[in-house]
Amino acid sequence: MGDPIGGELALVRRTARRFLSDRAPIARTRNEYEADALMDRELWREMGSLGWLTLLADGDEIGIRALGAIAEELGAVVCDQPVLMANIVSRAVARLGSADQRDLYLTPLAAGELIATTDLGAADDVALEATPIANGIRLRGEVIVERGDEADVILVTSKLADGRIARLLVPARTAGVCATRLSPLDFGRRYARLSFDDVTLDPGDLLGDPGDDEGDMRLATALICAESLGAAAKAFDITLAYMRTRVVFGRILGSYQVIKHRLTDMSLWLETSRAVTEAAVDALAVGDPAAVELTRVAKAYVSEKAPFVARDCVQLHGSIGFTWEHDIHLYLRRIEANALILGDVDEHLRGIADLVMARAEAVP
Amino acid sequence: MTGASDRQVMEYAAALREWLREHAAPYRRPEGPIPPRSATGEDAAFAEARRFQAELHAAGYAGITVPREYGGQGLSEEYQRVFDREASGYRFPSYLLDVSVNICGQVLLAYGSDEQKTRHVRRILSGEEVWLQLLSEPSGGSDLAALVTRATLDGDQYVLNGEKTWSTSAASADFALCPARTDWTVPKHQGITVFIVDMRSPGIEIRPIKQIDGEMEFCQEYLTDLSVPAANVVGTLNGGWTVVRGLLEIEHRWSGRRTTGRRAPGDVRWLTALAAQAGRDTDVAARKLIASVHVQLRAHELLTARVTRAIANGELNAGYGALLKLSNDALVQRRAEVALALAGARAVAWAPDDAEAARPARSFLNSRSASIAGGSSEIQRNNFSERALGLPREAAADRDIPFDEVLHDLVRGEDARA
Repeated sequence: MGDPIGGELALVRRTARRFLSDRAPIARTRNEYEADALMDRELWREMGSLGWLTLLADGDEIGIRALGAIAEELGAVVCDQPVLMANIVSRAVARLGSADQRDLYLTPLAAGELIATTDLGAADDVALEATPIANGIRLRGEVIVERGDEADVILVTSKLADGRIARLLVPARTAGVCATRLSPLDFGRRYARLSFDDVTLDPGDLLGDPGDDEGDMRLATALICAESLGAAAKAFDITLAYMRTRVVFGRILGSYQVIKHRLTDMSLWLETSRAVTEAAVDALAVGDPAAVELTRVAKAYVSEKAPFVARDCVQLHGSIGFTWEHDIHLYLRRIEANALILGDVDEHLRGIADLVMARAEAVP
Repeated sequence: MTGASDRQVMEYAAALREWLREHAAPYRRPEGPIPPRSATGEDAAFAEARRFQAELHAAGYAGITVPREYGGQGLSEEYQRVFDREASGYRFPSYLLDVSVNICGQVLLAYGSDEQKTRHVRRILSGEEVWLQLLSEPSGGSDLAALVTRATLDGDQYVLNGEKTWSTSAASADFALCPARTDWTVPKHQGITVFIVDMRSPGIEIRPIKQIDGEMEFCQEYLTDLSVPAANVVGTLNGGWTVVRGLLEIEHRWSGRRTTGRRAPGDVRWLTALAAQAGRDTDVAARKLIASVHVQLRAHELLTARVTRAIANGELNAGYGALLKLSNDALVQRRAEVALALAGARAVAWAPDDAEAARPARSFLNSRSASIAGGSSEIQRNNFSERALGLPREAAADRDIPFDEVLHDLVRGEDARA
């Protein structure tokens, strides 16, 4: 993202790109999906050794920027490893966790010995009920979690009777938790439904106090924008390359005016997506209060325009873009799914209206 | 021009801020939209513009990078940037002379003879002379090089006949840069000569153009047997396209500079007020419209900052500048469309002398020019795809054909074949 720390971010980006093209190119995402394979724990450990899984545990400024750059590279290969979610969990544990929780989880998380993910529980959308009981906390309901059936620990969001949000670290294979693998739109995001049928969790599994909010959702939202940006930029590059070589009616496709104009509009959406995403990530990195508005602007913009780019990429490929074998639909799937999670366009526009119209009306 | 030390620049900035406080306080940039300029009744505005330009020049703030021998201060770009930054919070009355000072003056410096530069540049910088560029013609459209204003040599004078259009404030100008065709037997780019034209000559008739929103911000000029001395050729005979290209490049760079100096492009207060007036400020659809304009405003602001920076440091090629015009034009139009939608019935009919009530309809109509003027959106897209993406240029039917053999506007009923 923004690079005030010299060439460090450029180095992070280059390293990420090289590592992913070597160990986790898009072909791997496709193969793993078609084989319905489980996560490659060796790859996960390698990501750990690169420092990718606990970038946010030491503080935000450099970590958030680095993770933003990595998120773009993950998007560019439609990576199927839950790197972003793992970082959200490790950050939450580092900031809110008890000494026991930090001892138990942080080091193995960092090393990639543990897989940790979290649901994307939006405050008005939480489907899990939590009730404090004599020997712990009882959970009832369902959540959908990335790699929920494979993770070693899952940070779930639940609601108490009084409406406060309580988050809990649920170890895998907790009695009463039933995981069902789901079919995903996005080849690289594998979800499972976790059903909690009166599951009792230890009080020590509660993360922080009910109502604690360290801005995880906002952070995840900005990082998802960075991921979509990376995917859209790569899809565009692939499409532009095709437009330079594909010949129809004796001319390369890229010489037709309508194609040139289409590619220009796509470039505008891409460059603007980059500008709004960078602004949101930078604001979050330095703790600027404008991050609240900027993240909503980024998600609202990218959720609308990145799909436009991806859909046009399919269109410009013609019928070959409609084949399973061509990679372009993997990008489409990632970008469309990202637009629908962590608040879609409408949800963020509602939030923006609340912010800016109140501001406007306040002016005498 | 020598480089400046940090301390010199800081001292310059401090002195400038002091001068602005003393002399420019009434001109702090106002909130809200800039009222449209009218082509008629401009005399007072131009008199004020010339007066302030003279003040700027006397204080050493006009022509900062222009060589001293031609009336400037001969300082480096750095000082110009300081001025741009400090001045960005103001709207000087001399903004009416922006084209004159920043485009025409710079074209003369780049392409004019020593005599022309000596005679005119100082006077341009001081506001004594107001200059105009006469590029657009009614028949030309986006095809600037297809101009048909004729210049014929008669002794030591050229005689010009033709029409120019979409000029701002022609009635207030003293001189103009006027491209005309001096050779019809060669391809269009090769037969153009740029002339300095005295706008007060007989032989120039200026008429205001009435726009779809009722305003008259521009003029059309009719040149009839206009005599121009041969010494008024800028550059070389038939070498005028180089000068025109140079002018466009100067214009492009200057508007890029203005964009960076400018503050944020506004907010949604007006739209919110319109919604409230219509009792729709709690309406979900209306709130979504307003929020979407806010997103577009922020997005444009952030895009401008990013692209400007990236072009300056070489990350993106200069062709990416076209995205800024596309983004700005889309924003201007969308905001006006949303205002119209929110105003609803109130934009269909309003009390006759209520300027505020007229705003939604007027600004909507006025906004239609955003995607046409200054290089249409279609041209911007052609340019971007060719310069930034490196895609093949448009096929042109007239590139290498003698101009007098090229197809012009068809008269109804005639066959399309030449």
